[in-house]
Amino acid sequence: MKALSFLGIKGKIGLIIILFVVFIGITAPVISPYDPTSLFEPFEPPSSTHLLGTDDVGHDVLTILIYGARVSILVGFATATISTFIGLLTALIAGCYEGLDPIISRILDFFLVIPRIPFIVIISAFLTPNIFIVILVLSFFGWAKTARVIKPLVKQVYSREYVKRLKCIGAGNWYIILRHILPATFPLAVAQFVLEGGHAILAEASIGFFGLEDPSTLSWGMEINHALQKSIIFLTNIWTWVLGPPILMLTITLLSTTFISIDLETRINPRLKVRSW
Amino acid sequence: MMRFNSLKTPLVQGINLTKIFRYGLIWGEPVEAVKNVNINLLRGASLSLTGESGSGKTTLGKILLGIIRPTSGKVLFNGIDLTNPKRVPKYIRRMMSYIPQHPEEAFDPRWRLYDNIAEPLRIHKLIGSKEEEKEIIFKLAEDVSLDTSLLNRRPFEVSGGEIQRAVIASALATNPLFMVCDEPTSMLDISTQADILRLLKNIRDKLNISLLFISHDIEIASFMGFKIAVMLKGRIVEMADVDKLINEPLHPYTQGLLGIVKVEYVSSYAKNCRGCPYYDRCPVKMLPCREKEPKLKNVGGDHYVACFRY
Amino acid sequence: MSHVSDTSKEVILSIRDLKVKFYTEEGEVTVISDVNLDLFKGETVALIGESGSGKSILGHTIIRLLPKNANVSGHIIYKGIDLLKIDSSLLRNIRGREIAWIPQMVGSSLNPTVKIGVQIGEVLIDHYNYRNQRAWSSAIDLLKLFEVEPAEEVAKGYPHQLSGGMKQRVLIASAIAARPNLLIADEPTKGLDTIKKTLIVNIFKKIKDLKPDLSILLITHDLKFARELADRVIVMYCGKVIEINDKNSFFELPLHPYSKLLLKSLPSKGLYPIPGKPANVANPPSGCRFHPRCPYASDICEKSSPPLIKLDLNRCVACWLYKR
Repeated sequence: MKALSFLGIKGKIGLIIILFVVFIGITAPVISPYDPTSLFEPFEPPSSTHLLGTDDVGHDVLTILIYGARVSILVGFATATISTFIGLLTALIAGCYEGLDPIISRILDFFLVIPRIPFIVIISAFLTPNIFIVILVLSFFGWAKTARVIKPLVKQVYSREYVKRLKCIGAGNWYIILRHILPATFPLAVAQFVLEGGHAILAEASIGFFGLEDPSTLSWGMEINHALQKSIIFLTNIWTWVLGPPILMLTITLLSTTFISIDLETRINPRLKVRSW
Repeated sequence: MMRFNSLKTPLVQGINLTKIFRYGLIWGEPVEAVKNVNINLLRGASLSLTGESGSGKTTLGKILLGIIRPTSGKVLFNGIDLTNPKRVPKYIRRMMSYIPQHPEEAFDPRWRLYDNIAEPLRIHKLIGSKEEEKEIIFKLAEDVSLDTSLLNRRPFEVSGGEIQRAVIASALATNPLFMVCDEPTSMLDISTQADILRLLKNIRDKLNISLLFISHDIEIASFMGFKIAVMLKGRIVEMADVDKLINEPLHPYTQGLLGIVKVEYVSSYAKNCRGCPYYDRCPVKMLPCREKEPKLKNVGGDHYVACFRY
Repeated sequence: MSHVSDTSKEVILSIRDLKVKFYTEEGEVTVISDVNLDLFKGETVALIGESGSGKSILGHTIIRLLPKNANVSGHIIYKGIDLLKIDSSLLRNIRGREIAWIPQMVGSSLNPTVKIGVQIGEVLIDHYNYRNQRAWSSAIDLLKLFEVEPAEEVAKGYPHQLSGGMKQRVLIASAIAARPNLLIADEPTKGLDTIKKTLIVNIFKKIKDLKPDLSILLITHDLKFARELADRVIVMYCGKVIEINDKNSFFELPLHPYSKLLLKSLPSKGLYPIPGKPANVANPPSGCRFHPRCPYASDICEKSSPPLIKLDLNRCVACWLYKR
């Protein structure tokens, strides 16, 4: 596939890791050793029955980790999809319809100023957010960033000579947008998609970490939150299997999305230039 | 269905066209890109526009194509009003084409040359099958002497001359009646330039297309034959048959462009001026030149000059 | 093989056996080969060629501004130093002060965040240890000389406030600020209209008046421009030098068939196109690179590449039609 040759080493490593995490998330019920609701003895060290031991409540850590992947991937993917879709659409309209640009820019500014996580804190004062509310709120603010990044590219492509020529020979605005501008924004949109997915995963983990999420949600953030509530874990080496794994999973997932988006963005810029010799 | 009246009715008509651009939101300094220009282009005829950069040639070309709206005046294409670009019907667009100055920017860099050339046909849904399309594209490539093996390449993989040929092929795809060539060779090598110019001339003669040819080089502009108009600061200062203009240039600016008289460079911005647009550089200026602007006058045999000396 | 045309003139730059290769995805491409030429003090030389001829690369090679995948062999001797062998600190001393470069892309060659006066003056500060005040006033003098007015305001301003023509004049001013001995200009008239070209011609004439012993290498494919300014003409085709001639002699009686056809393709001479397609330097024709398009080609032209031979004091040509 063209995408694979597009990426360098960094991107390929990132892609492998993120695909691995996605795989875990999708096949969670199959590969997980235990059902996530089953409880065992708390703080059991890693053994043959519990590969990563058990946490403060008695959940098998490996099970929680696997199901946590599911939550993170779901939130990341859903948020990224919604944000990118709406953001791209907005960027296309704002970039190609001169008259609407000032209004849309002001609206974007408004959305960009409001920080997402404190907003969730406020929301959680009224109701306990479950996954879908989290996705909704994150997308609600996420699309603005994507739109802001893609809009200049849209404007640049729209002002190119070939667009003027196409308009001259009778191409409609939406024809030009769909067949010429949209493909041109594709690489940047993909990079933004991955980046936004990573941010969403981190945001969700933070929300869980603050304990604001629905307690029945099995996310890495919640797991870290639970683990830190019992300070006893630091007096012994319990923290290595209760705290370590979720932090590690979170870190490598985020690193993978960052690697991919950095790799994509470094390849996008030289590609846009026409090779001259 | 369009009816083409007698050959006397001009295909493209520009009536008293003026275009004022406003630069900057706060300053709003108006620039007269085109002022009081009248153009009549008959079917199969060709008009060359020449003048330094900033003289309004490109803007005038774009107005006549109906892609820029003039501040005042009207544009008629075989009787249809093109003055408002947004209201131009799609079937009219099929009859015109535009060849821009920078060949490498005329095409979508992500598309193959083949698709770029075929695009006008696809936009106007002029062909049914893939085979029919391929036949037409190959024939077009042959007409412009473009190597068919290059059709699969992307614009950045071929030379400037080859892209320009592909652009011309694309321009001819819909059998247009009117074509605007905006400095088609100023970015090309000298030998390629000769090739492309001869190609354009052949096409015009063979296909009877009305051509508006824009070039800042008066020698190249005159190569295309027929009529030539000299523009300065948005106004036409002289217009005549090519032979007449080259052999008997009347306006001091035309004489300057031909190298007969030395020209002093001051500024090329079309600032609003009261008198003759050439006043600040004219070696033979007279008293009235400063206060009043000379009108374009027919001094005999379809030779028009805007100068108080005549 | 020496091409010194006049022993009383001092040689300022000597190029011997220059070969430049690029390593690309498609393999190794030799873009310039067997270039031997001399530049003299005080003369203006036009390096003429079309795209793919290698003229621009030759200019970049002298000032050593080639990309990383370039491989250069040969010698470029300036004041007894081989420019290809020196280290970067010595190169930095030479660039700007001894040899100056005016690039093609005017728009992106000036730093948008630095004041004009500083950009012009910094060569003087770097190379001649001027004080800031003195460098500033020298910058203003140069702006006045090139009629970039009002000079004091422009010096305090930034590139985006200037028009394209003014930016080019600023670029030229900063190039000659340090009074170099050799000025290399890369396509100074590309895309300009006739009036602006005349301006550039006047600027170069002014520069010559300022410093009569300045040598100028004009890389251009604009023959009219070359005719106005050059003393000598060097023609390149497909990576090789094919003719070296006096300016007047070149325009009246060009030696190489390519030169003849090139002159005929000018608008003033009838716009006769050169038959065939330009040779590709990545896959050049065998023997003489021009032979597929040459109306005088014979068997030997296809088999073997003619060397550059000296016809007389001022003229050299690489063509089998000429015997020494």
